[in-house]
Amino acid sequence: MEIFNQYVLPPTREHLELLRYLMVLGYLVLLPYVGIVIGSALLSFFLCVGERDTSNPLYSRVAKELIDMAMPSRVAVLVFGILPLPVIWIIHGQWLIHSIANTMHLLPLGAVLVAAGLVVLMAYRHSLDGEGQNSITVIGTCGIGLAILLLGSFVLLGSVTRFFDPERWITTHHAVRLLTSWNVIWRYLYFLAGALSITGGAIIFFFFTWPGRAKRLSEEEARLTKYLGAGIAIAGMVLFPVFGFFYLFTLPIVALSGQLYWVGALGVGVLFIAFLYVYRVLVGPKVRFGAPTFVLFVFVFLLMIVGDQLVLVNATEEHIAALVTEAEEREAEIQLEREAMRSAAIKPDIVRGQEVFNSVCSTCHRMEERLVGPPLGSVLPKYAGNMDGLVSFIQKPSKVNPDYPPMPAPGLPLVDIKSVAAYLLNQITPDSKNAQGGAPEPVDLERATDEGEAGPTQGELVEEEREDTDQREGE
Amino acid sequence: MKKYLGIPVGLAFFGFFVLAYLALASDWHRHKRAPDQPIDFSHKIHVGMVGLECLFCHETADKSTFAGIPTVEKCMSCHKNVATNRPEIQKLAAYWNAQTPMEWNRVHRIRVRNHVYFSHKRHVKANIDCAACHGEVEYMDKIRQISSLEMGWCVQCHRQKEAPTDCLTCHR
Ligand code: HEC
Ligand code: HEC
Ligand code: HEC
Ligand code: HEC
Ligand code: HEC
Ligand code: HEC
Repeated sequence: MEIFNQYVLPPTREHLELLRYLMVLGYLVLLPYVGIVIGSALLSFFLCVGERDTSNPLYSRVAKELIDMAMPSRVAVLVFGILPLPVIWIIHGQWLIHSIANTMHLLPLGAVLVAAGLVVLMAYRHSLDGEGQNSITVIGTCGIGLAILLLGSFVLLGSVTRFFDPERWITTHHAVRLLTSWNVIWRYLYFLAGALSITGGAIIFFFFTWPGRAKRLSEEEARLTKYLGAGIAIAGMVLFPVFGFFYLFTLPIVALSGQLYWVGALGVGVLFIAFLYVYRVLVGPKVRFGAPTFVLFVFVFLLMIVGDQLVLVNATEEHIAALVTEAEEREAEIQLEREAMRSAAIKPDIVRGQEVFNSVCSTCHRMEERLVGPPLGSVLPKYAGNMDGLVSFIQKPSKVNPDYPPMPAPGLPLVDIKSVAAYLLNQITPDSKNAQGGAPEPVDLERATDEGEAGPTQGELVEEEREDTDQREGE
Repeated sequence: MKKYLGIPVGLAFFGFFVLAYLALASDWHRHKRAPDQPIDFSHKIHVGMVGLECLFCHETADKSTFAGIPTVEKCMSCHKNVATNRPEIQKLAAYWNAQTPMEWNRVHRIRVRNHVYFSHKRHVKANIDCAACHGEVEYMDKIRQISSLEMGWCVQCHRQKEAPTDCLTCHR
């Protein structure tokens, strides 16, 4: 986390929008893929165990087919399972920059564990090619890989879920305590249910409707995979809305918003359509519509990820507002510096200044009376001899007097601002330019404006105001 | 016929959960959301832009158990003159003219105080920033509850700051 705070600039709003889309994309690749690997490895593991008990070669054939489906090649594992991990880590780091989110340390640990789990499962897959498939070592490799992957995805998702609960960023430090909250556990089970159902969808899709694959299955294999796929999908689908409900129920109050529940409900609705397809596979004579079934499950994952985005944005709303403000300030500073470098070359023009004053400033200012802004005759003396101060105020007005609303930045080019400043200073200290800004002169004039001409005007003004308010109160 | 039994069962199951999610939504809407106020008052404008101190408006936060909500009179000390042409301020002025107090809806609706003793004074006097419990209010247009106000939250901070964690401190 410190790395980020040192080297990364606060992001602007557009930058954050972009990051959000990238984050959705990263998760949309990672989570369904890891889900499919978990589901297939789980089935594969139990099939290997089953084959040891019954020595039915059918089981080990299907076990191998399953893990082949989930990990077709090294490149696929790298692209879908490992590449998104650093992307997600970096994006979360940008998002939570300058905050003291303790779980930022856990996220990379989870990522490393997920990658390690995938590598071990890859080794399992290769060991199935050789002899002695049902040996203890092979089954052990699968079990260990699966366990590491489960642990890794728990730590990863748990630390991400913890981003949704800023209250505990500061107060909880112990890693185990951080991850043993009901909210984190329900979130993980929610994901696991999704993982089971998308594995089922993937089996139906890749085994039966993927071109060129369906024919390779013997009738026995087809029957077994069909029941495995439809069964695991339905189990996942039944658990998904239950865990999702408890997850939403246990979210902290900062993270909630109305849309979140609608997204959740939509997910359940989509799941019902997917259920109809899977049910048809289970009771129908032939496996069909594999592709739309799979796509529906991916869509359910998308909704889950969109829900996470909503939660993250809700929970970090003020944090983000602070970051964006910081970025805007930095940008404005750079702008000002740049202009200051240029400004040496710009010559103010009093005639032009008068035009600008009449067209822009006079909507809010008069020299002697109060409109929206203060009478300039009474505020300008403090800028006498301080042209730069006046220019920078007009460029970027800051709050001065609580009796007035803040002045909006007029958004004029620097020439115009310098000109109007010169014009105004010329109004209160005529010929100050000719007198070459002699030190005593502005002071004299300031006193003059305070006690002389401006004095009575100010007095009148105050009285006028009083009358004004009296009237209003009388009404 | 038995073949199709799964469809109504599925419909009932998933339909039940859609309704359950919507029930959560309605609970959120009624009990947890930041409530609508009679006037769109913004802390972002008054704290962030105008730069007022919390205690200027929540006067009693360092004197009493309650932080206190400012009276209309306090608002009018500025708004007699400021932004008088805006519709929201005209609403405010109408309250002032009719001399009726403003009915602000509570944002922290989980009333800790019903069965727990909580005092602002003790915490403000111990130099705990308002933001530690209420978040970065200066960025909120509409103020919302940031902390859970659960017991675990109170106790964790007490443990960290070595404040009393005896049951009787809060449950008296
Ligand atoms: C939309 C109305 C509006 C416009 C347009 C506007 N001002 Fe202002 N101006 C204000 C208000 C309101 C204040 C009082 C701000 C405060 O006290 O925080 C103010 C304050 C000032 C002050 C006093 C600052 C101080 O330090 O007390 C100067 C000088 C000033 N304006 C110059 C200008 C000039 C020059 C322009 C034209 C380029 C201009 N204003 C255009 C509303 C306006
Ligand atoms: C201009 C006056 C003003 C200032 C300054 C101000 N507040 Fe408020 N605050 C209000 C008003 C009015 C309400 C009630 C309306 C509402 O809830 O939006 C309120 C409500 C709140 C609430 C919610 C109370 C509830 O109903 O549960 C909190 C918390 C709060 N303010 C905290 C702060 C903090 C912290 C600061 C300083 C950073 C601050 N306020 C500064 C006027 C102010
Ligand atoms: C130790 C945590 C804590 C701190 C520090 C704190 N508050 Fe509160 N505040 C609370 C809690 C808890 C409530 C809810 C009280 C209840 O439910 O009865 C609350 C409620 C409020 C309310 C609603 C009205 C009321 O009094 O119940 C306002 C306004 C408020 N706080 C303002 C402030 C301001 C301003 C500060 C800083 C000066 C501040 N708070 C500091 C915890 C805190
Ligand atoms: C210190 C002076 C001050 C106090 C006290 C104050 N305000 Fe304001 N208020 C302002 C200023 C300045 C603005 C900004 C006007 C603008 O946007 O130009 C403002 C803006 C507003 C607005 C937004 C107007 C709009 O539609 O743009 C509302 C509503 C408002 N105040 C309500 C209140 C209420 C309610 C209170 C009392 C709790 C209050 N104010 C107390 C100075 C104050
Ligand atoms: C951000 C840290 C923090 C949080 C959150 C917090 N407190 Fe405190 N609390 C303190 C500190 C520090 C003291 C000690 C003040 C002192 O020394 O007088 C204290 C003191 C108290 C006291 C007075 C103890 C006494 O000696 O009589 C009570 C009562 C109390 N807190 C209740 C609560 C309740 C209830 C909550 C949750 C709603 C809460 N606090 C949340 C920091 C916190
Ligand atoms: C720092 C303040 C604080 C201390 C110390 C404290 N509690 Fe609590 N307790 C609370 C608050 C606040 C709630 C209300 C939680 C809510 O409304 O969600 C609460 C609620 C409870 C509840 C109701 C169940 C629940 O969780 O909502 C029980 C039971 C309870 N406390 C027991 C105890 C016991 C026993 C002790 C001593 C070991 C203790 N408390 C010490 C603040 C405290």
